[in-house]
Amino acid sequence: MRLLTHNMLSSNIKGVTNGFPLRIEVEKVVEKEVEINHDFLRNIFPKIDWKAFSDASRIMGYVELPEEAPEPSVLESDLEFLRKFHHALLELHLEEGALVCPETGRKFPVNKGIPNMLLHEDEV
Amino acid sequence: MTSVFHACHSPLPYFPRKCQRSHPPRPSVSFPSSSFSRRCQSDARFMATSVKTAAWTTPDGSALQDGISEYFDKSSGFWEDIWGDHMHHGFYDPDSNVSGTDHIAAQIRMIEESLRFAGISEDPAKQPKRIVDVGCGLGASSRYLARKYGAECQGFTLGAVQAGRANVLAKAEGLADKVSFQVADALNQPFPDGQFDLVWSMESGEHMPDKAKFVNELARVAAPGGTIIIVTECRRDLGPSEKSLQPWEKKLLNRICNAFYLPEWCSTSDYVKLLQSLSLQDIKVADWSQHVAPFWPAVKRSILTWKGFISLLRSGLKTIKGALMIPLMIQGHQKGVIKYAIITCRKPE
Repeated sequence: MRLLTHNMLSSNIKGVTNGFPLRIEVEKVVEKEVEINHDFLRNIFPKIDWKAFSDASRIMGYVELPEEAPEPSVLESDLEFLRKFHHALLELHLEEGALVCPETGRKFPVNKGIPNMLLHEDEV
Repeated sequence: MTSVFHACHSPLPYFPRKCQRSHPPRPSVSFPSSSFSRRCQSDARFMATSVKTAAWTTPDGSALQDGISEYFDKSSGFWEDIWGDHMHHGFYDPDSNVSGTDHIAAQIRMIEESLRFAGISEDPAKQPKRIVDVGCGLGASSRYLARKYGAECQGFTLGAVQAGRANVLAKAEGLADKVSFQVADALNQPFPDGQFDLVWSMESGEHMPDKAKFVNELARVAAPGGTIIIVTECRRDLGPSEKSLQPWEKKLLNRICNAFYLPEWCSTSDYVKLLQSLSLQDIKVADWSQHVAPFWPAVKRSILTWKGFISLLRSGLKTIKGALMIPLMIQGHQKGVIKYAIITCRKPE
């Protein structure tokens, strides 16, 4: 599971008012190289919740991202920043671990890189 | 993993499969020797399962869910060999002669016609950037849409094996940055509100036991101004003086429900009412039954070859029972009980 995916997932357990972002419990992180696409990064940047993303990247062991979101103009020219953004967003994978609902503590397992977000009968 | 050119063989001689791209080989899937899985080895996708019919007559959500995930997980390998990764009907010109038709191209045409019908703009600035594929199967739609629009696509399915295979195929196609797949339930999508410019449901609506909840979730995760596309088989609409389908029609549909992992059928106008109740705009509907009419007869012809017949006999009585359902699908379509519909709309800004 990439951090781009994590940035879109939330807990929709019944009664939970804010299920985003899910906390990450890491058991195994894998790096998988992916060709960089600057236009894609520029398009996706405004849609990323930066705080959730940079916090998550730290938990995954990557500390290079700034805590505050940079100005969009940075993405036009700063190739080094784009490289770090790309790496954290798309190349770090939570292979084994869990995503944890921030309100209830319920764990959604991640196995072989696939989050299982199915709710139990009593959670819907 | 090195890609190898997938051997274009097919146990169904009527489906010469034109492999346009190389795929990583599937890990060998061992089917346990239940009549369920043995049937899957010789059946096309819509063949009956061996699960007790009682499970489908009552809308028991978790039994249906477990059944769907198990069925598709176990049969998707077989399906991929015969049909490839697109798990939906092709779009054909009405009354065309489909012998020798490239069915894969027809499946891709189904996607293109759906996007066109929904009015997705040709202007790159207005094209979807974030897409959700609801009930994604092996992820073929997600990968196609991601490639077409350069968009980011999340797909989900009840089946972990399907999701895993979908991710492998994404990587093989160089789309690992744009698409990813998870295990999730369309009745409780794991996304906050308003995430997606395009909400895509290609032949997954049939399996939803609670259509209202399903449509509600589609609307919830759509971004303001976003488009929802539902392509689905459904039952015919009722006439102005009808309160329900004719008894023979209900009987036909019940037999199919029991065989094919389907909860109760709904109609196109049921979908429209649900979308209207959620104040969705620009609701458009079309009956595409004539554009998918060649599908079931082609499947039937493939079973009735000598090779298909032997394979059927070998697979046992439950397979034969499943195969007997195909004429019901054809009958359902021919008599206008079963329809193939596209329903699209937009979420207000």
